[in-house]
Parts: sequence; C-alpha cells; structure tokens
Amino acid sequence: MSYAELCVTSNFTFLTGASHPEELVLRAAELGLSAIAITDRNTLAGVVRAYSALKTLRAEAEGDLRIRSTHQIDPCSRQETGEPRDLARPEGVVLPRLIVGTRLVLRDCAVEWLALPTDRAAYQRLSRLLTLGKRRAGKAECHLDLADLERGCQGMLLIALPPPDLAQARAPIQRLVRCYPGAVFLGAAPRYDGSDQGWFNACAQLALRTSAPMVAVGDVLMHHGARRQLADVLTCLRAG
Amino acid sequence: MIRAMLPDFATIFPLRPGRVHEACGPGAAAFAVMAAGQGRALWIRPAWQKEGLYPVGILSVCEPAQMLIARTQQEVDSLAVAEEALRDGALSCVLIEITRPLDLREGRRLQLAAKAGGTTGLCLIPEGMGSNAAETRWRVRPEFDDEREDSTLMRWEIIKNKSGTIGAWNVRWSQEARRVHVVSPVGLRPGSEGAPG
Amino acid sequence: MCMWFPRLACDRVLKARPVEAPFALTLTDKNAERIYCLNAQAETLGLHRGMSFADARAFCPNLLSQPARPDLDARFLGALRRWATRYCPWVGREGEDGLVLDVTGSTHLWGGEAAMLDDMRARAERSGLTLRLGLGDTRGAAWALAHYGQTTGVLDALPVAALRLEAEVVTGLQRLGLRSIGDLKATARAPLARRFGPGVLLRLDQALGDVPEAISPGAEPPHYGVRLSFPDPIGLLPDVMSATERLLAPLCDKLKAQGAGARTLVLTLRRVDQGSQQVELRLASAMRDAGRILPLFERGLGDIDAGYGIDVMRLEATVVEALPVQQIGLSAQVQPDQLNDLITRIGTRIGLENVQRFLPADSHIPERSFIVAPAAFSAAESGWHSHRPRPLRLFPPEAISAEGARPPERFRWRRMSLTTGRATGPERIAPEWWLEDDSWRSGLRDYWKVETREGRRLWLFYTPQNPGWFVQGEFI
Repeated sequence: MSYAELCVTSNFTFLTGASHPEELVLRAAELGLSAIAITDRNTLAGVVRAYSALKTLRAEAEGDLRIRSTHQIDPCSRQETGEPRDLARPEGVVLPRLIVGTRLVLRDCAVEWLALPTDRAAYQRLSRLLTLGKRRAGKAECHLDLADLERGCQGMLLIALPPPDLAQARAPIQRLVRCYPGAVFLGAAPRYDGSDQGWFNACAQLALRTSAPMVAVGDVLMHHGARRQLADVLTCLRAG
Repeated sequence: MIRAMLPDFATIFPLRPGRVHEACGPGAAAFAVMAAGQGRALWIRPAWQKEGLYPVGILSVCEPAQMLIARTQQEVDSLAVAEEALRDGALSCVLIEITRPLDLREGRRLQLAAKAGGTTGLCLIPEGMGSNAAETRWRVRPEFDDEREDSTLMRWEIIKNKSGTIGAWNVRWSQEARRVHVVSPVGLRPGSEGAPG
Repeated sequence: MCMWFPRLACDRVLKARPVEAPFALTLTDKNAERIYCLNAQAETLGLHRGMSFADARAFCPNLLSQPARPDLDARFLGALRRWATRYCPWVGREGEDGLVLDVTGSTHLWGGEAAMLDDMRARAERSGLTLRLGLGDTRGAAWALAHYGQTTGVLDALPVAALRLEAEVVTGLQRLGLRSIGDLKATARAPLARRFGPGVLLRLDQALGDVPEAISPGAEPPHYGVRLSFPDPIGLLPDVMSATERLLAPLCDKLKAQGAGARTLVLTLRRVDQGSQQVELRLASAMRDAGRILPLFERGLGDIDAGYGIDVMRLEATVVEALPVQQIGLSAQVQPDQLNDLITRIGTRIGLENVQRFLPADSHIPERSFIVAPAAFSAAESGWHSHRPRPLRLFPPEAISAEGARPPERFRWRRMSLTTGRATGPERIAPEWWLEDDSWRSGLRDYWKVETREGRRLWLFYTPQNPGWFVQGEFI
C-alpha cells in the first residue's frame, strides 16, 4: 500500500521543524513514499528547497551508475584496459512526487488548515492569500481569518487539522465544506498518548457529520528519530 | 436461595476497624489500597521486594501523600513494626506484606494490637497461607470486562468471615465516587474454590 | 588590646604537620589559584599574599602548598577566642585573623600590662603561633599598633593604613601627601570629610578615643549535655529509666530556653568496670518534650547490658534543630506529633531511613515521576497528577517474547499464558535524553494497556527502535 505524507513541517517553520526540506525529501524517497507535501506554517519557502533537492535526486536516479571496481587496470603499466561497463539501473525506483502546500494558521479559528493547490491558478491564489496575511501583520507574522479562506481557496485541497477539543472544529469545517464541496478533508494524526483509538473514532464521527472525508496524516516534524533532541530543544525555546 | 445467604456487602467493606484482615490473590494490592482509602496508612513490605506501589497509579484510589512505607529486612521486623503501628492509633490502616503463614500467637498479637489502637490491619498473604486469627479473608482477582474499556472489574470473594457468612461479588472501583461499587453478587457453588479454607 | 595572628591559617596547618620549607596555602578565586597564607620562610623569599600560585612557584620552585580551609581557620580562631578568655572576660573577634580583648581592670591579675603581654607571647610561641600584639587605649589604636606598630606607643607615626581604611582611601590619602596618622590629625576635617566621606574621620576618632567603640564578646555556643553520677551503681531497667527521666528534664529545659529541639540524642552509660555503652535515639522530628522522649528510649535501654552496674550516665543532644515555641491548642496540631512519635519508634527498630514516603517528581518517565524519601526528613507533598491511566504497581521491565508493533494476541508472563482481550494504546514516551539512564537505552517506548481474558490488566511496552516487548506494571 502506498502512502503519501501530506503534513510535513520543515525547519522553515520557525522553532518547530527539526529537519531541512532536502532531508525530508530524501527520507521520503528512501521510505518509498508515493508523494510528500511540504507544508510549513503560513509560508511556501520550504517548497523551493524541497523541489531542487528532488531535482538533484532525479538527475542522480536517471543517470547511469558507474562503479570504480569494474575498471580493469593492467598491473604492469597501470593503464586502464578495456571499457568500464555501466551497471544497468534497477527497475522500479520511484521517486516521491512533491506536493506544494502550506499550513494555514488562522487568527479566529482553532482548526489549522493544510492548503494544497492543485494547479497553477490555485498556487497563485494561495500566494496572494499569504501576501495578504503578511501585509496585514508585522514582521514574521501572518494574520488570516476564516473569511479569507472562504474567499480565496478555489482549486485547493483543504485538510483540517482539528484541535484536541473536537467540538471547536465542527463549525469551521462546515463553513468551508459549504464553500468548497468535495475539496475539504479532515486530517487525523496519531498523537501517541495512549488514547489514539478513541481520537480516531471521534475524528471519524466528525468526518461523517461534516461530510469532510478523513485522511491520514503523520504531522511530521523531523526526518529521522535522531533529530528528536533538536526538536526537543526547539520546543523548549519556543515554549520558553 | 443462594442470594439470601450472601452477607450485605456494606456491612463488611470497608473493613471492620480494630481487626486484622487478610487478602490474597493477584488483586490483593488493589484491594489493599481500596481498603486504605483516604486515611493515613502504613505499608510494611520486605526490602527485597522489587514490585513497588506506583504512587501515580494509586492516585485514583487513595492519596499518595497519606501513604507511608516501611521497608523491613526480616519478617520478624515486619510483624514488630505492624504491631507497633496498629497499637498506636495514629494511622487508620496498616498493610503488611507477609510471605509465610503466621502462627496463632503472632496472629493473635496483631489482633490485640489492632483492637488496642482501633486500627484496621490487612495482611497481604500468599494464597492458602492464612492465619486462624484473621477476622476476614478475601481472595481478589481482576476479571476481564467484555462491556467496558478501562474497566476495574474485579471478583472479590470473602473466603473466611468470623462474624458472618461468606460470599462473592463482582465489583468495580468508581473513580468519581471514590468507592467500591458492587456490580453483581456471584452465587457460590457449593464445594467450589470459594469454600472456606 | 588587640591580638593579631598574621599567619593564622598557616600556623594551624603547620602545627599539625610542621615542615621546614617555604609553605603556602592556596585558595581558588575566580578560576585562579592565589596564595592565601604563607609561612615566615616563604615570606622572606619575597612571596606575598594574593599572588597567583603559578607565579609563586616560578619564584620559588620548592614551595610546598596545600589548599586553604577558611572554615577550619574560623573554627580555630573560635578556639583561640575561648583560650583568650583566660586573660579577660570580654573577647571578641577582629576580622578573620584577630581577636580584640578589653583588658581594662584585668591586667593587675597578671601583674601588670608588661607581664601579661609576656605571658601571651610566651604561650603563643610555645604553641607555634605567630602573634602580634597591640595595646592601646581604644580598639582602633590597639589594632593599629598590632598591625603596624610595636605593641605600645603613639599613633602619630603610624601610616594611615593603620586606621582600618579601605585600600582606595589609603591610596587617595597617600596621593595627597597624608602618609601618617599625625599628618591626618593636622589636616582640616571638613575637606577630608567632603573628599573621602565620613568613614575616614570616624576611624580616626575611634582610634583617638573621641568616638567610643564597643567590643562585643562572642557568644559561647550552647552545649546540650547533662550528666548524672550515682553514689552506688544501678542496674535495673526502671532505675535507669528514672535516671534518664532526671537527665531529660534539665536538657529539655535548656533546649526550650534556646528555642531548639533535639533530633538525635545519645545516652552514654558508664559501667563500674569503665566500659561504656551508648544508646542513640534518632527522632523523626525535633522534640523537647521530656514526657514524649522518655518512652522512646525504652526499646534502646532494654538491650543494654548493665554488667556490674552503671555509675555515670550522660545525655547529650548531638543533633539540634531550631524549634520555635508554638501555641498548642488545636487537636490538628497533636496528630502529626503522634505520627512522628510512631515513625521514631518504628525507626529505632528498622532504621529511620527505612520509613519512607512518596514525593512527586517532575518527569514524564514513569519510573522517575516520583521519589521515595525518608519520612522523617521530608514533608508530605500534594501536587500529584496523572493525565493518563497509570498502573497500580510498577516493576522492573520483564521481557516477554512477542513480535511486531501491535500487542501480541497471546503471550507468556511469569509462567502464565495470557490472551489479550483488549489493548489500548500506544502511548509513546520518549527517553529524557538529557539524563543518562541505562534502562532507557533502548529508545522510545510505546506503552499499551493490555486487558487479558484471564483478568490481569498489564502495562506493556514496545521499543520500536530496538524491537522488544516488556511488561512493566499492573493496573487495578
């Protein structure tokens, strides 16, 4: 079964993500994910880096493999004899697709939204939305409201990330479902606090009530467990 | 008919103070913290015993701040400490972990000390190693609950009762009310494992 | 008069272990080892106090050294202070290495000032102490003469530093050409006060006796010990108990007068055959109520072998804590006392540190979320909380054989074969990597509450980074 990770926070989210977008893309390729979205908080900046990393990977993957040990060297003259043979590229190496996206954190709504544009026009709208939010606020801030999303999110897939208190999530999801029927989903991420089963059940019920289908997201903060210490330190800095 | 023979649960639990009781079975520790309740309690245990109470876990039943622990090197010390604590009356409950059956004299001494101090004593004993002096003896076993998650369903059997009949109940700990809640009485089959021993 | 021990610290150390070589005591100050005190030999080589130790070693390669212990020096000075009361009753400390004595009216007991000074010098020399004396009409004058003069004499010729002034002030005065006390006396007072503040003039007046300066004698620390000798040896337990009662009464009175309570009491029983036995009583809380302490001795005294009889008993409070007087009245006050008495009695049997209580600790690691502390040395704390269900009992992890990230369907634990009926989880607990903990080497743990069909409700965890399953606790 192939899996696409749709909620990934890179270090372009200040004091939150613990891995570079490049590392995340590489790791996604290693794990054989079918797609990876880079969704940083109110920014598209990480996507660019992820894209160029993926391009390098693709170049490597499509070029031939050359292995030094296949060279034949004459022991007397130390000259290469014969042609080095290239290895045949193994079949079936599939690189993950990169999904452009952002995580919209709003002023008036406890639900956070993953906005994934599906075409160039939607990408433009998303950029415009972020510009609007950043103009409203000072440096390093972005002020967006649910009403802005209601106006400017055509052509995007919206995934709601509900707060621990699910009751607060229902109204905003319903509002957006009314605006963009069929494009709003409910993202359920495991919390690993021992009550995940109950949490997923509650999410499924909410999804049924709001007719926003449930999708699995991992809420990734780092590409590898070894980054845990960095992530912990960042959390300490953020929480003060 | 069987139900008529059961003693009223409320008259035998909480345990009668001024007496020493016994509990055995895999749920004995749970029984002990429920018996201790909110009062000040002393838990006497051998020092070599690794399996400790987890204070965060007993929070739903009793107050960890009220619980004292005495670690003893030998059984003789356990009994001496228990006697001292029972007689003193500063505690409401004394819990003693013992590993061998008490003889009649030891059991009687604890009983007298409990009477003098008006304290409830509870010995946690290995199965089948009760003393004749005990007021009541309970066998406590956790039960799987088909219906509810996070259940605390247990089967409490009173297998010895000096001042009444024996019986068995399915009980649950009610965290909101902070007391034992009887789910259903269990009929005793004659000659079964629940018979007095 | 003033006694100054210029090499107090060195003399103290060398008294115990004399060396015939340059010797220095060093003290680490702001990451640099500096010389704290020198012996005479080292001083003649040109070393001085405050010099860095590395420099001193460069000057004098055979310099012996030892780290300084200012706390012991202070205690030594305390002992010297007690010794100095042989000369007069009013003896106080002067700085870290001096004593000040008010000998007015006591000199004739020694046959005059000169005889007394000789006696002091002789005794100091015999015990290997460097001593400089100053005898003056005022405290300031005595200090000046001890530090800068020749025991007696006039102040005028002494340098201004003899006035107990700060170093900057001394330098300032010297820049103005005011080198001696005589110069200072001759200068107009107002400009001096304006320039250097009132401190200079105050010190000058104190030295000259225009402003009085008292000597505050150091207080003797109270001693909590009483003894009782018997004309005939005793041996019966009731006799010993009643003797203990008689010892306790004055001791408790003394404790009460000082606002203190005993934490540890030692009763020494000396037998007729010179052997002695001790009963140590450690109390769960500070106490000074004889009626409550006495029964606590009963157990310890029961084990005493009286032999041919006991003729001297000595009771001492070896550990004493402040115990302010409290109003007794409410019954709530009595309850903790009763509990503390019980803890003491149990503690005499199994050791006070074996009576314990739980204290909450701030950690999300189950094993570290509480600490077990001796009940006698800690107060009960509330502030327990748990967000997730936690087991009733916790034990060291016991491995079970199982595979995969989900709890096994059936498993064996402690020779029981168990079937999983319901599993709740996982609750992921990450190790506290900033603390070294061997038991958490295996990395993350995913905790599951497994309710078995057999009834037992267990707390299992899986370590995804080093696959393995363990049982660590049991729920109610």
